[in-house]
Amino acid sequence: MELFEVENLTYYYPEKNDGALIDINLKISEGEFVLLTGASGCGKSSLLRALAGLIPDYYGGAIGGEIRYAGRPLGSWDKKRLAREVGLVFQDPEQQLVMTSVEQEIAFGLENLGIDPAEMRRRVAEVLSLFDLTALRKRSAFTLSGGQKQKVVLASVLAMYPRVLLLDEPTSQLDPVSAQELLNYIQRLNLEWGFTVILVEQRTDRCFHLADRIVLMERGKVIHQGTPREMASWGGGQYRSFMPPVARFFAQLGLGSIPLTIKEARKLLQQNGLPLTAEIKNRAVQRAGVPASPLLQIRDLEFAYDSRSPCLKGINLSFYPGEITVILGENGAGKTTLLKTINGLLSPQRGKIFLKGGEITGKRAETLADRIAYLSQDPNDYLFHNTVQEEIAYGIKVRGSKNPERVKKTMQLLEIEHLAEAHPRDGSGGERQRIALGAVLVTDPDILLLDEPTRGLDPAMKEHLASLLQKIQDKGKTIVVVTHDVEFAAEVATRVLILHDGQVVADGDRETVLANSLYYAPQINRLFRGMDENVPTVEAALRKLTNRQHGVEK
Amino acid sequence: MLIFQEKDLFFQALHPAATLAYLAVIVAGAVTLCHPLFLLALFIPVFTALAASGGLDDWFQKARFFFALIAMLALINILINRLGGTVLLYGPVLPGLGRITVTLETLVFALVMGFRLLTVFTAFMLYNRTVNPDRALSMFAKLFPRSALLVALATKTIPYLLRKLQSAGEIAQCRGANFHTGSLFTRIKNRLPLIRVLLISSLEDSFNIGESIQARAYGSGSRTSYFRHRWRFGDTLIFIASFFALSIIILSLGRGWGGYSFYPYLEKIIISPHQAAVLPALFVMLMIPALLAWGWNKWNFLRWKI
Repeated sequence: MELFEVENLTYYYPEKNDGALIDINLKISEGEFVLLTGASGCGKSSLLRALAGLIPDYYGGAIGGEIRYAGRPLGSWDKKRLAREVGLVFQDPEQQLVMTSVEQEIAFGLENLGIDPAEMRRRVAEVLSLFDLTALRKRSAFTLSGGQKQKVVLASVLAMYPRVLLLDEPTSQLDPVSAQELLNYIQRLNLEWGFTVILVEQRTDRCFHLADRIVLMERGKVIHQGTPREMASWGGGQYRSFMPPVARFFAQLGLGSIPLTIKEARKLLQQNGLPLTAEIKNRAVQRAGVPASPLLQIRDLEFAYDSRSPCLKGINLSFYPGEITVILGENGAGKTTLLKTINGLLSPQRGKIFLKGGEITGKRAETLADRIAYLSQDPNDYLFHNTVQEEIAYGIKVRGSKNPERVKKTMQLLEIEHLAEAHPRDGSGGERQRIALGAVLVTDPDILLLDEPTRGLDPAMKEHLASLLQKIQDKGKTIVVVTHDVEFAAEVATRVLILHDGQVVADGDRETVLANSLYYAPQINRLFRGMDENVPTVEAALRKLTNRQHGVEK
Repeated sequence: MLIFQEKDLFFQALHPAATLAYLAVIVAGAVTLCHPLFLLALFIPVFTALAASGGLDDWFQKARFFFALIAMLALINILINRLGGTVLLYGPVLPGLGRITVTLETLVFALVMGFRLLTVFTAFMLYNRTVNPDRALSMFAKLFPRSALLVALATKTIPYLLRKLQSAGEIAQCRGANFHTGSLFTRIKNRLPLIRVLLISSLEDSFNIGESIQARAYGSGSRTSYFRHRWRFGDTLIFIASFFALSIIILSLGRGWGGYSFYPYLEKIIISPHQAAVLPALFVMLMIPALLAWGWNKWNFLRWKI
């Protein structure tokens, strides 16, 4: 039975001339798991909001075509009845939590639906157990971690017993462990309870194989759809980046059959006698060619927000010029705290920090800003001037000087000269990211600290960011990136650190650290586990194979 | 961070309507009365109630801002107000303002107005510590769905904005903005961009929260309530005490007992026997809830009785 029927749907946001959705035709059956993917701004989230009845009701704008839900036009559904049928989970849990306590947040939707109090208590208790939230029921939502918040949001939607779950990048702010846990819940809801799931995701490596159907969108249109296997076979060329790395690897290998999981892929490798066997296994690679003198040194660093529970415990690290260090770790491991301690936003209780041999411990962030640049998680926080040029120039102007040449050079480096007179917030996600990057790079710092720079970026934007970081690295700068995105880490890192409970539990070359990790290993690395651990990316794997065919081992 | 936390407190155990009635009387009194002793009769009970609810640490931490505000009010009043008759000292001649004259009356007026603000602030601190915003929303949403949601979100917004302000401040520091050195003017100027960031982000965030609320059917019809609000003896006591306190405030306003004349010379603190009678009555009525809160912590039998 078709649950959603979308016919010739076209939608324009108010005061916009370009259509957000153009002539969409789509049918979604009851119990189906649909993955909606595509570049940023392609219309995925708009389509999701249209299916939830929020477009055009909440947004306004002009709409054409029709959406039918369970055989009736969506517009004819009573709002309360529709909210009972269709549950929507947004990207940022912070902006969905209305109530103070976890328990009341879950009950909020039920109160709105006018559910009987006795029934409400039963449902709240049920979803609290299902999501393992019972111990947190009285906690303030403010004090929860990102993963816990997203679970509360999902639980609050689920308590309304919807038939359809619409999820807009629900894992984008979660660490790999929490993201996997959330996806497991979603898969169980689909498999065991028959929920219809429509999931919007840009990072498809964890969810590609879970879907029954994948819908790829571009510039407001559905350009292709099919089963994951069909899409993996079809999705070569320009759409390759939306496929998970394993599928991408086999598509480029041209073996015909394309696997969707690591298990299938390893079997296929063996069947084809390919190639990286245990005999040629590369073991841990030591960091080579690092300069003798570090740019930044951290000695016995300890920091605590609350003296009873230290957040950083005895950190000893050295960072060298030209290195891109990626810091991985679960939410709350101390990654952001470490960056803020380095750049002077937080003052450590114990330990010392040296920059180019000079001690900088306890120096304020504003005095270090021209030597240590810091880009926080949300680039929007950096954008408040009327033009991009003014935004970039602020870092120099605030020190009471002017340097239009430096501003120009920074914009050239980041390829945003054409936006000089535009409003910084008018740009796309990737452009905003680059403008914010320009705002901190304009002082020509020695060190660049980036906190979750790939949040909300599509694969093309991530590729662009990776190449930008490599350009900055080539200028001899030291880059430290905190991220949950292991595929991005595998792409850009020269060195990887894993933080756990405020301590460095792994530190070494990208290949060494990622290959020895269960959760933080990129997909391609997991594919070659036990055969060759020196293969972090699709490109590296293809290069290895080519070299091997030519009898060269690198 | 002004976040509500469930604790074993007398005021949290009350029906939200009883706590809100008590706080509303305090705020109404602080806003309408200007007699220093009447304001003191409002402040001492609310401060005691806050102390009994374990909120003093937070109060001292946040009140610093209010002491600075009171100092600023006094300064502005001294600069622009020429109504007082008791000159304490003559200052320099300032362009546009003439000779600065510091009088006892302008100084006392500013202090009393600052004290009034401090009383309202203390009542807010008690509200934040003792009224579960979820319970309040749940109770009032049936009667005033839009206003109740607005108040609940506004309460939630304060800690959120404080966090956002802190994060915007950190980012500005990372870009070289200096909030700690330079003249007062420079420091204020450096902080101005934070207001813009806060405004833009708040607008975007409120739009998203509104969307989430609509997606969960808020305002789509009649609601039910998850909480069971039970009215107990303690609620009745608080309600009666608040009712009498409000009656005294209204009576005092009607008869002019709650007013105080600052200019040209400070009036006598107690000018009529009526004032001398109603003032202790108001104090006692408002102290009842504060003392019950204290007793709740001390004696178990009181917990069971109220």
